[in-house]
Amino acid sequence: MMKKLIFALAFAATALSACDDDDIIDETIWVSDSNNRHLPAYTEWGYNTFGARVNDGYFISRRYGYSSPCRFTSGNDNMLMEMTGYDDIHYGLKDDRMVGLNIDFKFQHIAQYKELIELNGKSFDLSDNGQVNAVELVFNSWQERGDEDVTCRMTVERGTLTFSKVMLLRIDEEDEEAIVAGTFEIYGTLDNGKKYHITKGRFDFGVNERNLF
Amino acid sequence: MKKIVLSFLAVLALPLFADAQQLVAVNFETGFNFRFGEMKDFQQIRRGTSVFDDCGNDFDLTGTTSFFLGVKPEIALSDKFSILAGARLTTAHSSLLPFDNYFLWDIRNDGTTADCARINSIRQDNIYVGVPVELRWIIRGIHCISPYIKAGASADFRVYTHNNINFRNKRMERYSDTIDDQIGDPKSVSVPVYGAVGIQCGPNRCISAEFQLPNYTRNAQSSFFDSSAWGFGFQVSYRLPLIKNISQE
Repeated sequence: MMKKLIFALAFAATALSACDDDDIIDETIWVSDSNNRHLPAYTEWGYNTFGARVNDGYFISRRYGYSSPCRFTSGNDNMLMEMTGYDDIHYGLKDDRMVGLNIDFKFQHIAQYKELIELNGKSFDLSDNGQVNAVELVFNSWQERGDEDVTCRMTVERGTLTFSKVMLLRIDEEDEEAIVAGTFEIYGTLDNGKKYHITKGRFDFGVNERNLF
Repeated sequence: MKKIVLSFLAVLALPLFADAQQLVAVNFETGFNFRFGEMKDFQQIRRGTSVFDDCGNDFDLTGTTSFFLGVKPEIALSDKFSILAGARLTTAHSSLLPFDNYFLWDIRNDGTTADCARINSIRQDNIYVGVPVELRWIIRGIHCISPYIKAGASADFRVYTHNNINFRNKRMERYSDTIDDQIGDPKSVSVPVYGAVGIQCGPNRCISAEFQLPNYTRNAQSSFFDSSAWGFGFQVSYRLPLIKNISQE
């Protein structure tokens, strides 16, 4: 009985210390942009933040927490990048609140996060069907449809997303994640005819097995 | 630099030129001071805690703590005013302590790979040899207690710097020299200025205690701070009288 108790305590201590080590790179680190306090500063540390001006509001990631605001899904010849956040200005005031931005790139299959380095310095023309399969905005319309997310495809008139810095983060000589940082700007129209101008977009994610599928 | 050294040598030699009636005592002093500062924005440090509207900080800045020992001959200008100039040995300590258990330091970054180390804390120790010069005004006291006010400055020359880097993973200790280089040394010369209020007491006013307000603007004696501003300190000293007739008013 005593042995089991000691084993359980040792296991708990190991598990807790392991969590502790992971926390620092899993955590969202919000550093405000000194020129625009609504947006995160452009960083290249894997701070798990993003932000952009969207028409008269802002679409940003949560300012704290431990879950990544971004998810990459790699297919045979495409890579879907999904950013999940909220409208900072109209939060709770508007029935059509932007909660997601999905961009489906035409890109080679990524088997593991280290291969994301192929994206370093790469720029995508979001209006070019040869480079991008689709750009979608996700809205949460709780007043009309009872807290349901609605995905709307966007026809992009012009837009660019640049992976300014994609690099491997090693801590204490062990590979931890890929830092994926960049900027974006999109001008387009939704199927319902509403125009969207997404400007000053910036992102800084840590990507590893947790959020690359 | 040459001018500074020469001027300090001149200050040190001051007592030699004072006549016997002016050189009234030698003061032996010890004390400490503590001052706050703005932490340098190290590009190598990854933030560990969200900072909301820049109200917070993810480092528990301990400021810089100094301990000093000194000896200062005292030259009387009148029965109330005197000049003190001498030598002082100062040790200055400062630390980077994160609120989290550790922080990440970017040791090497070639654009495609960032190699970081988990660091629990970094403590920096500096030793300075200084030449303080002070002007003291003794306010007439009662019985054998005399309050005084003082203004002074000290030219401190850095003679030793050491960073004690506490890595979370001991195998990373081989990168200590790289991190030392990235931290850099504080300025080799700093000139803090200070004011003080204190009292002298005891026979021949031989014991004094004073409260100091040092200013280290642009004189941070630490690599962790851009500049240290006001701080506070305390000093006690023993005054060995050489001549009694002027000093014992």
